[in-house]
Parts: sequence; C-alpha cells; structure tokens
Amino acid sequence: MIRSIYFERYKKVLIAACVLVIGSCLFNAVNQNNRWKNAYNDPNDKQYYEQYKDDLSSSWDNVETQEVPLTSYKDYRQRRLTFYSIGSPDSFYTQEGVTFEIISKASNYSKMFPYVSNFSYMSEAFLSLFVPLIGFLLFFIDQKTGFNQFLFSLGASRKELFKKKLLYVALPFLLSILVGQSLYAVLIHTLIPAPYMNATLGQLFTSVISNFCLLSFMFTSSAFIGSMVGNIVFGPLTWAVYWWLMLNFPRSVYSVGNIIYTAKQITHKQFPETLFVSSVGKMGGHWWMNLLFILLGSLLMFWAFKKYQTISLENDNAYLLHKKSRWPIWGIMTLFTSFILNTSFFDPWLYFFSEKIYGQVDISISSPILSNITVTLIVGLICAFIIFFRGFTKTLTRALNKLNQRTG
Amino acid sequence: MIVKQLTKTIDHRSVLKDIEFELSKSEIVGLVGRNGSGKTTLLRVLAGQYLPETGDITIDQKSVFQHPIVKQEIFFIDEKENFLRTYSLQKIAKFYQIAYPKFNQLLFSDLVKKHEFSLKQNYRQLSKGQQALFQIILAVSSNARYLLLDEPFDGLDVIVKKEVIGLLMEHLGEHSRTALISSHNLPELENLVDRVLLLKDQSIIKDYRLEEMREKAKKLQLVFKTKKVPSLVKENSKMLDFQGRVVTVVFEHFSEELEAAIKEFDPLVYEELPLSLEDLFEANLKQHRKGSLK
Repeated sequence: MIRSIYFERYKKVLIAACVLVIGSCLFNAVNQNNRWKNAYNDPNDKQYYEQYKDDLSSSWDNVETQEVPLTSYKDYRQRRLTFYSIGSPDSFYTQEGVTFEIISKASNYSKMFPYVSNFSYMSEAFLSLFVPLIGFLLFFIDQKTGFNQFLFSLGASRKELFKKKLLYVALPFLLSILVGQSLYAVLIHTLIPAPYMNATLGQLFTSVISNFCLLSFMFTSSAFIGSMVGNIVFGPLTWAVYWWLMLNFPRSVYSVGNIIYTAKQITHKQFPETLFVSSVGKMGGHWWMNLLFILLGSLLMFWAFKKYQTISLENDNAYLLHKKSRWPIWGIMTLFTSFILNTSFFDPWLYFFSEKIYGQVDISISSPILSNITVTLIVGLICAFIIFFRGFTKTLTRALNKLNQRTG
Repeated sequence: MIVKQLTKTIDHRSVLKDIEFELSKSEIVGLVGRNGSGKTTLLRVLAGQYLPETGDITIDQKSVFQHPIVKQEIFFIDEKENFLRTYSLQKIAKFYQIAYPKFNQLLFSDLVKKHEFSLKQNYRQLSKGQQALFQIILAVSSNARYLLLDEPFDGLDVIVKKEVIGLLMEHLGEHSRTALISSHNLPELENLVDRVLLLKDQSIIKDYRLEEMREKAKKLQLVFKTKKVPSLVKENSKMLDFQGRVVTVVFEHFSEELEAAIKEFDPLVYEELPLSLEDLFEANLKQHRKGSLK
C-alpha cells in the first residue's frame, strides 16, 4: 500500500529527477567532449604556440630551480589535449619531480594527486546542488503540503512510512546518480581518443563510486535536515546555509592540513586535496573516506528514523520538530558552522604560523585563539536564538509572510 | 473503538485530559464542545496525526499504536491541513483507493456521477460545499468502519447541507458504519446523532444517549412566589435562563417524584418546554454568573 501511495505521489517527480540527473551526466560528457574537440580543432592553436612558446613551460628543473620551456609544437599539443592534469597549484607536484610524461600515462596513478579535467566547465556543479536539494525536500515537502497528515492516518507504522520512502523514493534517485555517472565515465572514456585519455576505465569507475558516496552523504545529510525542521522560512534557510557551508567543507579540511604543514614547517608540500571527489574523473579518492561518508549518512538517517516515529503534527510549524534534539542539534550546528568559518574564511592560525615561522614576527598566540572563540560564540548565539527561542522564529516568519502578502 | 485515558498537551497546555469513551457499531455520535475545547485535537489524535502523551485507542481489542493496520478502519480528512488542494479529484480518489483496501470504486463512481463532479477537475477549483460533498463521497466510499468528521456542515448552504446529510445517513444506515461528528450546528446534529459527547475542561463531561435523554430530561419554565428559587430545583437542575422571577431550567434526570416535590412549592408558572440539544449544551457549557441563581 505505502509503495503504491509513494509511487502515485512521486512517480512523475521521481522520473523527472532521475532523467535530469542522468541527462546532466550525459550533458557533461557531451559538453566536455565538445570542449576537447574545439581545442583539438582550434585553427589558431599553432599561431598561439608560435607567439607564446617562450612563456609556455613544460616542467620544473629541480637543479636549475626554474621552469623548462616546451620543446615542440607536438609537445605543446599533447599537453594541451591530455584530458586530466593535476589541479592547481601544480608547482608542488612538479617540484616533487612529477613530470608530464608520468601524468600523461593512463596506468600511472597516485591517490595523492588531485587530478582534474582540463575540459570541465562547472557542469558537474549541477549535481552538487540538485542532489542535496532533493534530499532536503524528501521529507520536508510532505511536512509542508499536508501529506504527512494523510500518511500518518494510514494503516501503516511510521517505521514503515520512513523505510519505504527511503526504499522507493530515495534509493531509485540515488541509483540514477550511479547510472548517470557510470554512463558519463563510459562515454568520456570512449569519446576522447586514447592518446589523450590518461585515465583507465577502472580509475573512472573508482571515481564514480567515490563521487557517489560523497553525493549520497550530501543527500542523506540534507534529508536529515528536511526531516528535522518544520518552519517554512527557517527550514529551507537552514538547508541553504548548510549547503553553502558543505561546499566549503573540503576547503576547510584542506586548510587544517595546510595549517599543520605550516606549523610543522613542511614547506615543500601541499596537503593532498584528494579527500572529496566532487566530480568523476581520474581522481579516485580514498576508500576510507567513502566508508566515512556512508557511515555518517547512515547515522544521520538512523537518527531521523528514530525521530520520525515521534513526530506529532501539532508542532509542524516549529523550527525544530523534535524538542528533545535541541541540544545535540545546536551543538552540531555551532561546531560545523564555526569550524568552516574559522578555517575557510577567517583562518587566523595559518596567518599566525606563517607570520611566526616564516616572517619571524613575534606574534601572540592569544590572537588566533580569541578570533576562534569570538566566531564560535557568535555562531553559537545565533543558533541558540533560532533553536531555543521559538517566539523569535515564529515572529520573524509571520513578519516575512505579511511582507510577502503585501508585496504579492 | 475504545478510547482510554487519552491525554494530550500542546505547548505546555493540557488540551485533552483522561478522555475515555467507546464507539459502537452503527452509532452516530456527536462531539460537542465550545470553540477551542479540543474537538479537532481529539479527532486528530484518533486519526494518528497527533501522538498522545498517554492513553490508548483500540479497535477490536487491538491498539492503533501497536497494530497500525487497524487504522484502515478509520477515515478522517483534516479540514485545515490536507494535501487535497494540489490534486485533481481523480488523483485524490486514487490515493484513497490505495489507502483503503475496502474502497468501493463502484459506489464512488456512482456518487461522483450523481453529484456531477468532473474527476479531471482540481480540488481547489471546487466550491466549499462541493469540497465537503466530495469529502463525504470519499468517506462513504472508503468503507472504513469509523468516519471521523470535523465540522462537516460548516459554511454549507442549505441545499448542499441536505445533500451531505442525506448521503451520510444513507450510507451509515445501509452499511452499519459508525460516525463521530464534531459540530457547532447543534440543531442539525440533533436530528442526526444517537449520542452526544460533551467536551469541556479538556475532558468528556457528558455522554448523552439522546433517546434516553428525551425520556428522562425535561426543560421547565418556572415562576415561584418569591425571588428565591427552591434548593430542590437548584440541586437537581441546570439553569438556562433567569429573568426576574422567571427561571428556565433543565432537569437531566426528571422523575414523577421530582415533579411532585416541585409542585409542592406551588409555583405560579410550571410549564414544560421542548428540550433541544442546544439546551443541554448551554446548560452544561455556559459560564454561569456567580449568584445568578438564588
């Protein structure tokens, strides 16, 4: 019964969402192939090479400590058209003796290199917005359209409602990502001629798995938010802020790595930016990161599952549907937000260590500590206001609704 | 259906307290109470939308919380919070067809045709009366044993109201179904229901069987020689009106002995008035002014 009800309610949206996901993956493949072809058939390429060949470097000479210029037009073409290179800044890797010859071979692979496609153009960014958005709406939409009233009065347990929603709505959607990205991998590997495709199909499929694990985590964490919030204004706003922070999360993690490198005076290395496989390519990520994403996602879903059984719909306009979860949610919100703000945007520790170690400036440690505490305190207070003071969110929502009615 | 010790608190305010009652087969029960007395909350708890703090609801000795499958015997559409607005009638019918295994498709098609609904029409395009009628069609077609109806006649014109009532009565009688109808419209409810549950101070304070009530209860208009009303009247009745020396009271348990005892006071006026559900409602739920009945 529940399966049929979900099917009846979501079939069109689900099919459209799956088609959109698979379509975007196919579009990616076609788009990147076109960009590659344009580069391949560029009539001004030779002229460009002749004009700038002295400025175009091929590799780094560790003895002379300078960049080595390109030897020929063929060499330049090979470099330009090779599908995957190492992400910016590549000087760290070239200084390590990593040459183009090493990178250009498909069989050569290091999980420490952040491989990027030279021909992608933000087209994969669609999935990093669309997948979490669908995750958020998975529970939130039923909460706000009165469908929960219908579902909860059916002859089925809340457990069944929750599990079957994941099974019949979330799972097909997530599988469409796997199908779409696999199609992308096969297509791009087939479309780009072998001399320029420096990734094996196996590497691409490893990347598909890692990317899927990351997107699944983005989906489940967003679904968790969607199942916990009820306020029509602050619910989506919370997700939007979370999404923006989530996009900055890899930068924060890498920033922490770089702070450690700087503090330990490991100057010639950059923290390997290979933990988050945000697009399918040569970079395959790490198995333990995939496991971590799946575990964290499952943990959040288990939490949501437990709480779903206690939803009583008289609270369906409250910011947080579950009063008992206020403290842990406040803790997570505060820690997550302040971690990203402290590392991605303010980053006082990198400045502190750089000044102290390399600039030889006598700088006090209290400055970064104070900065961290201030940011955390402000974030904690804002989160507390939203979570603990229901009147605040209610009044603000009412005011926004009034404003909306007036302007409407 | 047996409801036991149901308690519900919303925003630290007790809305339902120790609610207990039974709904038997083929009964039409009215749920009466003042605005904000918790009628809709009670229906929402019975339907499973709100979770009670304590208590249980059982159907055939099976708790709806432990055996949710028995909720298939309950039909409820929340008037204020429902998903119907965004769907066509056909789609809505499909949802209810899936949700209720005993859904009578033939009856549904007949009723839709009889009341000239177009299934392609969107629910929000219907007038309020048509929406109510369509909800009743869904309710009777669901073949659920218990129909919970929240103010089903509210805001309907006379013609639609008659259609809704006619449809409901026809179905309930034919299929031995039970209905719990919350309503403000007491004169209408009186003609429909067999029993009335009176909700006051978060609890069910009265459970009237109207047939018994009509036999036992009496509404009298009395005028005594002095302004002071005899304590016998005060103790055994509930006051409806008191103007000058004219007092209108309701005796819920009237007897010949009581009649004789009142007549011993030699009232100037002793007149029996027709008793309505509204009188019982007023007598039980009206805030009495202190010292109004001397």
